[in-house]
Amino acid sequence: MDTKLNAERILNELRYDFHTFSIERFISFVGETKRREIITIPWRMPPTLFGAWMSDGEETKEYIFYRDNVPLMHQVHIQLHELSHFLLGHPTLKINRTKITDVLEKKASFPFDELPRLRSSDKTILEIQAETLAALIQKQVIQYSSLDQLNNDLSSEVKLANFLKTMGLS
Amino acid sequence: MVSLCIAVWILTLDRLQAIHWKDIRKDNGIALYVWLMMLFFSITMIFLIKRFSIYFDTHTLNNLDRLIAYSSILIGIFFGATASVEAVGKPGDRKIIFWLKNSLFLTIITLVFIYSLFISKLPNMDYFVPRSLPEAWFMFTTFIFGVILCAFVDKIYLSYLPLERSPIMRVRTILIIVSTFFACVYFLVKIVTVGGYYWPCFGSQALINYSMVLLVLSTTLHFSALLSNQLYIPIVLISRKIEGWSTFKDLKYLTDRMQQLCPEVALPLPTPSVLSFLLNPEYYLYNAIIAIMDGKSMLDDLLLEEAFKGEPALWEGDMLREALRVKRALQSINQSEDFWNIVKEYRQASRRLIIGQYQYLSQEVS
Repeated sequence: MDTKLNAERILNELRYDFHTFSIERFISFVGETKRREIITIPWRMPPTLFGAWMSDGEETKEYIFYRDNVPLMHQVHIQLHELSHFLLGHPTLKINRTKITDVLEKKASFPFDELPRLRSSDKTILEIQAETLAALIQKQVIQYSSLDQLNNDLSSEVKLANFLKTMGLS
Repeated sequence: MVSLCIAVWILTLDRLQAIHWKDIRKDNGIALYVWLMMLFFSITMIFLIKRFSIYFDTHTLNNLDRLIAYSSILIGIFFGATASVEAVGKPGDRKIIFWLKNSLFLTIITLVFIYSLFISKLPNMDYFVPRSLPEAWFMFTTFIFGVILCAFVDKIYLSYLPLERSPIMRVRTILIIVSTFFACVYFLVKIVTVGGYYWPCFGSQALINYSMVLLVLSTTLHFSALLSNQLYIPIVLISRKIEGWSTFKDLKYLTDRMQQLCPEVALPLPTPSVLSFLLNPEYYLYNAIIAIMDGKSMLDDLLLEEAFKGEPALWEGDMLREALRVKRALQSINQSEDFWNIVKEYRQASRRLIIGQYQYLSQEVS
């Protein structure tokens, strides 16, 4: 199936109300729908790696790591890209609670090197699929927020905003 | 003219119902001034219907329609000007409106004076070029004050336009500026036709028709500025889509640079047709922004001295200079949470790079 059509199908199946979008709410919604606890972790990623998704092999948990030193919009996109891998049912590395504890205690490090670089040189179909779905999700968010903004934004000048309300023009 | 008159009366009466009268003091009386402006414009419009004017004059006094029409248009614009000063005027504008109020009072007294002594004694004036000196003076007094009022309103809104951030209010402001400009030109053309009293060539029918077109345009635009926000949203969305295409072309320069410098980072950005883009602008603009952000992060990583110690350099010579130039251009970007502000910032960065490239090439050639 066409990548974009497939992404649209998955998005439609989710039936998420984008009027109330926030990345936290969306991830929580996806987690509830898929009956997995999705944990997002801001992380100082190694150079040229933006994010990573790993699945817990023992518990119903998914871990999404994302670069913490990029603009907010980029952070949201990285999380959506990783979440899209999960939604699309792509294969990924398995970790467990012990491994995470070891990393936090600095006894080990995450196996980032075993992952393909995001939007990496091989540009696999999996990356294109995840990127397409992430972009479609954000497109919905932008469209709804733009409309909300236009509906609520009256004027930069308070007096004019009050005038529009009084005049019944808002 | 009849249909325009009906339209403006419907709008005026509709606003009368829609205004929240209990909140009328909360906006410094702006809504009241604007409604009064609409009312006086509507009164003027009635007297532009020839049949009504003749009927009115037959049952009242000779040429009373002119006195009412001329006075009401000036009062209407004055209320518009007062509303503008209250809404967005500067302290200096308040002094000017004080003088304009006094001048309006004097102008109307002058008009009543000329009317009582001369115009009321004339047979029905169904012409636009004066045939006597009192008529010329009657018209000139009205039109010159009309020019002053319109120029004042335009000045206020032109100063305010750059400060307005709301897209819908910007559309409204532009409509008011254009309509007031047309009204100003209308009065200037009318002054020229008054000159037809001395020089008949100025009283040509073409000029009279032209002035009528300006009046219709000005009234239509001004009343359009007073429609509900909901009617503007589709217009703003369409204009945003159209503007988005030129933004996308500007961003394409930057995404192409990223592809050239870090081919391994971003997925190839599709180049849509204009139609595909207009159907889905957010999708393409978003992809472009993410491609640039990916590239920027990659440049930041790769240009860190410590990042790849011992590995061969990725860029040398011109490519390295280009990478540094792009990195520098993107460093000056102000981060915002609003998508459209982000797009604007990256577009400006892209344009700076394009201009810098041209300057560099022209220096090379010379």
